[in-house]
Amino acid sequence: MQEKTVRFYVNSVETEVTVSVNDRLLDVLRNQLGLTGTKEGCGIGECGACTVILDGKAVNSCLVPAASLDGHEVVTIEGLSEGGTLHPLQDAFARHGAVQCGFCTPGFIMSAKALLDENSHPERTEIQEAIAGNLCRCTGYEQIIDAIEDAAGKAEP
Amino acid sequence: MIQVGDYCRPASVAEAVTLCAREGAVSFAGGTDLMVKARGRSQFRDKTFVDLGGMSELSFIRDEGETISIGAAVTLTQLLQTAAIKESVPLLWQAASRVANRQVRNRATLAGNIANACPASDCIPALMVLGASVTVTGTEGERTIPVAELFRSCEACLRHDGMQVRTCFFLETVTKKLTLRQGELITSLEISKQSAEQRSVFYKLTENRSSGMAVLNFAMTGSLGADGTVTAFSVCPGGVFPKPRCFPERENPLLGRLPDRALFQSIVQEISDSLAAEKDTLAGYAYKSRVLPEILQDGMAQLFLGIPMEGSEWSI
Repeated sequence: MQEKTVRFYVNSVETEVTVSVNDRLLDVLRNQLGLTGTKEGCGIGECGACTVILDGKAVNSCLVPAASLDGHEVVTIEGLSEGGTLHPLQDAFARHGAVQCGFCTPGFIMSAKALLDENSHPERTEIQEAIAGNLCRCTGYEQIIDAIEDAAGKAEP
Repeated sequence: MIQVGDYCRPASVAEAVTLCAREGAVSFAGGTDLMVKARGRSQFRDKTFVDLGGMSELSFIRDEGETISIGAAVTLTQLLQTAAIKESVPLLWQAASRVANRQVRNRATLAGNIANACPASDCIPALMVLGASVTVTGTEGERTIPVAELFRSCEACLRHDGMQVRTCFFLETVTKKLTLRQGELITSLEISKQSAEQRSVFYKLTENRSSGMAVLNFAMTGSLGADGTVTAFSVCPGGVFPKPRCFPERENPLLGRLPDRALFQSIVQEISDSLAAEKDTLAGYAYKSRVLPEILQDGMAQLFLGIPMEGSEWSI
């Protein structure tokens, strides 16, 4: 099996790993780096549970070849809270009941973070569009959108 | 995990041409279709993925005056965030905005969408009615192919219920679905800017208003003269034919006439009659043959009469 060594940033930490050409970014995060916050829901880029931020853009980590990662930057859900303090998005999700089983939550939060990084005060319709690639079987989405609106409201204008 | 033999990442188009000429080479850019196909099946085990994604030489959007040239590595998000695209080719912009979801659009490329050649592609109908062409390169040099001449007829694709990527019959499309030669790769697309009079409508019908594959879609353009009569019209419906087709295919019954629903029916009937030929092949024919005429009528009403289609308010 062919292997490649890749050096890339994960949550601001420079990381070097040897990956198989069969690995996806999702596999490297979960199996080699122990970052199991990112989930595999469908493995085909439709549910968004595996969403991470790659070079500033929300992507499905199940669709990114690990061998392509050299020189890139990845942010996962583990990279959001600093020193035990919840990120405003995480805090808002908890307060708004936007988390039930929680399986979709890391993916939603990463999509929301990518949105707010580009557009700090989105309209509700813009939030809906930005999270259209994240599926939730539990909540019915309204609480999730409320939480993102709340977190956006607390951002600097 | 996926199942592939090897992976390489050329630094230049010249290097890519060399790598793609090798036995078993499969080129890709965003990989949002390829990575799904490679996950479920073992047929890539002896293949080498050649990654063109992010190659700077292919990451350009150039205004060439009457046309716009888009490099093969340009992602759909980059396309959507380019003002010149939204202003000059709004039909393509609309189509690209409906592809999948943000996570996919942040990786997927227009060239890849064309090369994957799915009958339910959203971008291909837009490129068809806009008369786009692709520039292709290989060991025998460079050539330009009009999009209308790029696709091979594929009856099997019509039998593919749902036209989902994960159950796609064709892992490699270069020689099966496209008129490309083995080893050739798309380097750019050229599209004529829409003129000021050239109106357009893109519409996509999905299950449950989801962001999944189109059940049906279409891209149409048209224009009206100063006297309010039709001066041009073309529509490419997706999700129904073995290879992309623009209608009307022969004479245009709309030209010189004032637009109304009775007039639109002449085009809609031509498409329905053509679709009837696929009755025994097309999965979901019973549904699609009933719904396509309705949405085409509504689309033409939006295009020429300004009556918005239901669901057309969805936008970025």
